[in-house]
Amino acid sequence: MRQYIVKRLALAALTLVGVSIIVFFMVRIIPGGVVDQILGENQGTPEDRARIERDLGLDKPNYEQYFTWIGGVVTLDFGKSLRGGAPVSHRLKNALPTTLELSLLGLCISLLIALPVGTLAAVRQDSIWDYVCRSISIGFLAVPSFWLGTMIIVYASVWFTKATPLPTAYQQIWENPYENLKFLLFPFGYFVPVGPAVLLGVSLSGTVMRLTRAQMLEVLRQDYVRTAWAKGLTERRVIMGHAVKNALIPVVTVIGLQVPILVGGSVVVETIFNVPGIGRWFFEAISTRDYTAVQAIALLTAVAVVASNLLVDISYAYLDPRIRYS
Amino acid sequence: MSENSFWDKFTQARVTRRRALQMAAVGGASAGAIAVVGCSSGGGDKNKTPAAGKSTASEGTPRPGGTFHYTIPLVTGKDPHPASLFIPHAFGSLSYSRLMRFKTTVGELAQKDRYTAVFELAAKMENPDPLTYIFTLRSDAKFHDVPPTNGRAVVAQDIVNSYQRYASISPNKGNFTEIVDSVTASTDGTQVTFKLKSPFSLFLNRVASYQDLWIIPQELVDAKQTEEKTVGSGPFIFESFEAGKGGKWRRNPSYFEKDAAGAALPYLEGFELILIPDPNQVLSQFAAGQLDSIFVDPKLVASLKSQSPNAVIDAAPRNILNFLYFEPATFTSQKPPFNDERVRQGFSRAIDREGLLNLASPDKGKWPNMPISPGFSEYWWLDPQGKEIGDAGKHYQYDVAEAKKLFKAAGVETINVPMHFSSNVYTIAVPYYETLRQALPAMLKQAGVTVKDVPEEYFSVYGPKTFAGQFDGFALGLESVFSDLGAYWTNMFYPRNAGGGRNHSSVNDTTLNERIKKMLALQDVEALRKEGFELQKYLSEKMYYVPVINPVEYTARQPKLKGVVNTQGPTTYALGTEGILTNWFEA
Repeated sequence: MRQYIVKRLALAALTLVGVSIIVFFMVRIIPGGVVDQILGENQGTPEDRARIERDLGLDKPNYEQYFTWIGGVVTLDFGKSLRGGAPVSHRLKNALPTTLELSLLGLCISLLIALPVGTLAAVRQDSIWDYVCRSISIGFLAVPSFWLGTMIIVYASVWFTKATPLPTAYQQIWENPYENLKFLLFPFGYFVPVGPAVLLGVSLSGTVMRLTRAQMLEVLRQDYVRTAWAKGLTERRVIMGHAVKNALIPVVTVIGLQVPILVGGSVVVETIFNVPGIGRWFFEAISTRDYTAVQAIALLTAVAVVASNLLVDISYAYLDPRIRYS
Repeated sequence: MSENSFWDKFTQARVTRRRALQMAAVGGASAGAIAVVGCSSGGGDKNKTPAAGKSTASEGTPRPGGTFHYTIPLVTGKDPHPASLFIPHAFGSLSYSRLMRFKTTVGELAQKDRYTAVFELAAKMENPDPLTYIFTLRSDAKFHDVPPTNGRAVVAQDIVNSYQRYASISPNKGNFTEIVDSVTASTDGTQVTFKLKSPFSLFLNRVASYQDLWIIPQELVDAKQTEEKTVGSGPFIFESFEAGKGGKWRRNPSYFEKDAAGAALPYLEGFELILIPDPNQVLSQFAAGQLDSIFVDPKLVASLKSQSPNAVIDAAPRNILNFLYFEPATFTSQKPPFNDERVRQGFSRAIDREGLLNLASPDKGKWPNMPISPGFSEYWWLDPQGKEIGDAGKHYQYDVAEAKKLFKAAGVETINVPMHFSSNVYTIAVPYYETLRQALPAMLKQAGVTVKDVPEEYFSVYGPKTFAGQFDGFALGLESVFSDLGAYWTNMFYPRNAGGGRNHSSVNDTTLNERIKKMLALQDVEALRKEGFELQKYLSEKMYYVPVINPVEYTARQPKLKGVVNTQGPTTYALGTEGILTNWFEA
């Protein structure tokens, strides 16, 4: 297992280098660079353009810019924003934990919804419970999160004359956990869970719910489960002690694959609910051609995806004793 | 962490039985249930429904205090000198000053007074000859009492330093460098002298422009902190800014402007800028009373009125010029079909401006001339539907049959051309832009013009190429919010290498340019206006650009907000002085 982890870490490092190269060069080939944006409609003189390129370090060859940047990344210096000159790490230190927390909460909420509901649907197959649960999962899959989020905001302002907290009201969890969780889960108070983390969780739960149901149905038909029933075990013991654990293996895979979807979904949710995370920042950075910010966020997202997939693979060995890595 | 942080309160609070049960519920969340923690959200002013009533002429005695809450989607920079977008100028206007600024009045400003320059840092101006402007600085103008200026006086050298910096790094520098020969400071530091290259009667407007010569202290420049904070002599002192969230300013207690009764300005205790990218969020926050003033898309006015029935809505055409412009080869190499003015006139006749106004805004609007729109000032605008324009007004009247006749007379009965337009940026900056670009091809089709849509991303294609004159066919464009007539005339008609930074079509009419130059040298306002009208008539015949519409646009504000200036316009970027300087909150 140790050997396997070391090999995977080495592969992960190579993957990340590849991602850094792709991201670095891709943002630079987007037409309409940062200098065009800064000059705006006036376009300026060639001297203006040269001065701005020099000030931003864009006058150097691309490969030199890349090595300067990647050298900084190794020491956790992600460079300076091309729009304003502030170090990218300054904003990252607040925005990254915000999105990580939002994503984690969203994932937990999606599992809290999906696993019990999927299990119930499978155990009570073809009953009214099954139909209700499947309808719920289809509903969650079909309704786009951006629409649902907008509806929440609009109707809350009409019915309750309430708005979600302003982004200036957001506090990190280590500063004020109560206000933080309230912002992400219950922005309107009144015990109404319609916050950004809930929206994210709901939008992800549909897939997991349906997969859980399918896996549970397959496992419940296995001989060892039939044997457990025959032995006279209680339903709770059969389901929770035998079936669920085996049904979860493919579900764990899907959870790992949800990480990039979580980050992507956070762009929409953060924009709609004023959450000052990296999703919203990523969209801004692309719009304003802030290359260093785009590079940093893309690279960190890649790290998150690679790490989560590695964790998922390692967890298989614990979930299924038959799986051994060499 | 502060002394009253969450953690301090948490450790000091007694845990009651109710609280313990709540916490247990959190810890022991059952499957499928979401733990409940909260109590009701904070009450107070933010949840109050706006009070009834519209703003009246007599609003009572201003009450000091309160924080103004405002929103924009994002901040692209804090230093106005190198900026072309409006955001850094609006941001900077809270803390920076200019030598002159524009006149404001609580309520509606008379058309003739629009963009009238009044003193700001300057207390006096002498104009001994048409080429010389001597500004004497206010003796009580001081920079903010924070590092690095620490409350020192504003001196003439500050103006010179700011001018030199602006002239070296601003994309707009042509607005000054084309007309200014030199800027010098007196030895006693009280006066600054501008020498012009040639007479320019609108120079004071140029000085007051809200996108040009902001006075930034050299200490801030030398410390390379101009993108970190704004320290100037303006009405608000910068406190903090957090990317993704917003910024805070507090009142400058040493600000030099006073109201008519001698009371200190600003009345507001603070200003908070909140970054909200989603337009639905903006409406929702306004309805909840968390924002004090917002722009409203004309399509959402009805929705806003239903959500916020007590909001005060100001409606007026904005100072935004929209128009069709033609490929430069039209004028540089006489390329057909647009080289023939009958074709250009035909395009104008094929546009149903009243129909477009119906689509664009519930309160419709007016027809702009070129290059002056009523949103700039009705005093300087020659109404295409008025009597004064005379026969030239016919070129604006919707008449498809006449358009076809004109095309036939020019030898082109059918025209197939691409129409270039911005697929983003403009669609956000101007809510009706998308309406125009969808409706125009259908209108032109009736006159035999088949349009091929060419959508272009603004920053990569439309801005650097099409707007800069590298395109074929024609394009739908917007023009910057200039604050003096001269900027429109020179930028849009002079050669590109001689001040014509916005000559999108590469119009090359030397007779016109001579007349513009002479007009801008006129010192008499009435003569300037009269010649401006004659030139607008001339351009109505030539149709180098085809002006489209100037619809009514909307801002909404909370009824408790008083002292609002220039409620019917004109547009300004100078939020600090021409926006909120005299605002106050009713109890």
